[in-house]
Amino acid sequence: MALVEVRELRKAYRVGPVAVEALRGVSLDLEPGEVVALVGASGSGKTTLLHLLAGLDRPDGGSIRFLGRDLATMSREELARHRREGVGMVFQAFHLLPTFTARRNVEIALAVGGVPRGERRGRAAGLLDAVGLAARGDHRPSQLSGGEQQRVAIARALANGPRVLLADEPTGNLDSRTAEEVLSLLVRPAREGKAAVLVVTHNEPLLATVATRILRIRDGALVGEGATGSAAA
Amino acid sequence: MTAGDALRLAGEGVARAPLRAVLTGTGIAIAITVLVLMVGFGAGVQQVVNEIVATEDTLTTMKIFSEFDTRWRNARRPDSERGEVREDETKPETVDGVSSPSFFGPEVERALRALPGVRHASLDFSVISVMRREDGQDRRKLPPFERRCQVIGLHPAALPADAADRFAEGGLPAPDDVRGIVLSQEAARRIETGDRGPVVGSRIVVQRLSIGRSDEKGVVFTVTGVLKPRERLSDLASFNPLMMGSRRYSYVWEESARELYRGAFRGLTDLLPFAELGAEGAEIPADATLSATVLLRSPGDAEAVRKKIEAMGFRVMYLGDLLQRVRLIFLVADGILAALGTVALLVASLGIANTLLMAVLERTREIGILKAIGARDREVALVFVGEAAFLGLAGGVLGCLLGWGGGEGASAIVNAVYIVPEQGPDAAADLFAMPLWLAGGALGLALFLSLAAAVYPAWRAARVDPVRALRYE
Ligand SMILES: Nc1ncnc2c1ncn2[C@@H]1O[C@H](COP(=O)(O)OP(=O)(O)OP(=O)(O)O)[C@@H](O)[C@H]1O
Ligand SMILES: [Mg+2]
Repeated sequence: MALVEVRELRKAYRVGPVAVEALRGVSLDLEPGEVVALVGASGSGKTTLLHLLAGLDRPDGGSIRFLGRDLATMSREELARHRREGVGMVFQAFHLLPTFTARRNVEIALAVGGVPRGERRGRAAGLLDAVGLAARGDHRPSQLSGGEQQRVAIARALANGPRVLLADEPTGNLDSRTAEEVLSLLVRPAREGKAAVLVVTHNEPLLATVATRILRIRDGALVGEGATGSAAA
Repeated sequence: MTAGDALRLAGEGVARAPLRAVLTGTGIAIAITVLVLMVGFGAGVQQVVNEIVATEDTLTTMKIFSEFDTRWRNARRPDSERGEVREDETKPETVDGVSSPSFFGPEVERALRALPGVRHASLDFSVISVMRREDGQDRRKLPPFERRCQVIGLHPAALPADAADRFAEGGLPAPDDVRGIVLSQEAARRIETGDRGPVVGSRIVVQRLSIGRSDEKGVVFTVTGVLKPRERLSDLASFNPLMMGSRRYSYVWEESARELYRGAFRGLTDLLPFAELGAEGAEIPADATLSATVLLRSPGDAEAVRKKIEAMGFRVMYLGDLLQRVRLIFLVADGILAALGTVALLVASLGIANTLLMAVLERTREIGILKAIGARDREVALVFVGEAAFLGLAGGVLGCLLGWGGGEGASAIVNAVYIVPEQGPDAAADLFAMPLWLAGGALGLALFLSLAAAVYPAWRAARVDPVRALRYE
């Protein structure tokens, strides 16, 4: 049984009389230890797929099984649990809480995940240290650069030890050196063998070095799969 | 996320829009102030009434009126006020040999004393007299009518246990001192001598009030004590309806009072019924009375004793009844006042609902983030419920403090401006009361209505769709 099994996934957005078919029958599997790159043009449905995998939205057709369990059968409460324990999501636009410091942005994820109050501070410090922001814990998002915010978002996504890490164009706004650093942080959970990592990117060459697999998406459908030169864990 | 985490987020949420929080909280505070003031004054006045009326003394005292007295008074009342008119009823059955005599004599006194639950009973020998100093040194030269004073008979068995504490000066006459007299403050003031010695120990002439020229010499008594100012309806003997309004009275042992009473002018209220009774051809002994006082062992005996006495055909006057009626009136009045305050609070809680809805709209994106990282619906809801609780409690506490300060202040002003100048410092009363139930009730109501106001905004927050919320950039 794969960690994640996606079958014939469909999603359409209805805007007035027009229906935009964002996903038209996507199927894929994710195994622990994999780093999968999802490549496609703007508007091809990448973010939509990630949202569905994260349980933030519900599909119109097909199924997503997480550890054998169909997300469609989950209640609101169970979906919330899936979001805080099953997956970690790094958003395209970071989505940090603007009034919280970097540390509290990580701590709130720990709090949501049920980590006792006393342990949160230490664990948040460890996570920020791992993304190289040990010294910036007391800074607010507005006082951090884009790359730093991205790294706080990664620390937050990793806070509760997710089985699947979803990252939406984490390198989009970064220079190549920072992008490489961020990527290496993202693939770490996969390298440790427990989690699967799915990274959306425009920058295929950069990912090619770390990805075990590349999925190409066009107009809401996967068009091809290619192995990469990188060695799987 | 623990409840503590959610409340912390709630507190931070309140602090982020301080002006809005202050305005909303002030709305609650004003409503609570109004509520506390209204109900607090109701409670205060009720407490004053309770202190004056609901004493052990008054609640263990019953006044008994003869069947004739009842009939006589009823006949002169407008129809609407006639209470238990028993004119046409057949006379009730004989109880212990007493069957509803028109006036009271020793056999009635014996029958009353024999009732279970009765500590003591005696006929009311109460006489209106004129007092002056034997030495003629009265400081104030008052006309006789201004020197009138009720002389009340006192039976040793009727004395309250703390009788000695009720004296400002001196004390009771010795048990065999039939010429000793105890004066109320007001009565003592009438026979002051200025600087010519204390009232206690002085000799006064007590003369029965009469119509026309009196050739009576009067009886000389020696003052043995002066009572403290009266704070309650009774001070030494149990309460006497005849002197509920009067502050000028004195006590002598019952034996002496009976002596003064024989054939005396007893005031209009008694004179007329006796005159009519005489005209009906009744033989009226000189020491017959129209009323008697019954002292109960405890307030709990009231109902049983009343039933027995009414079965004898007598009318019972009991302050406990009045108190019950007064309590009912207060209950209704307090209820209306509380309802008005609650309306103000309802309006204020709409303000909370509005403030919270604005907060939910403003923070939709943050709510979306919380939900995206896995926060439960109820955790998100709790944040906004917590904000409402903060606003409600802060407003409630502030309102309680303002209401309490305002109420005490107003009470002090009313005392200083009206009560003390008109009735003396002894009459000063705390007209405002803030019992624990009022503070607790006001806070509880503020909290409850705030939470009720939070229900819809909190539900809206919990149902925020994270995907849509995160698209707000
Ligand atoms: N809420 C929405 N309402 C209507 N249409 C939407 C909505 N979200 C996405 N779409 C449409 O669905 C399609 C897929 O969008 P999606 O955001 O998944 O693309 P993407 O691959 O992530 O693009 P990008 O690389 O620009 O982020 C697009 O055509 C987009 O316009
Ligand atoms: Mg996208």
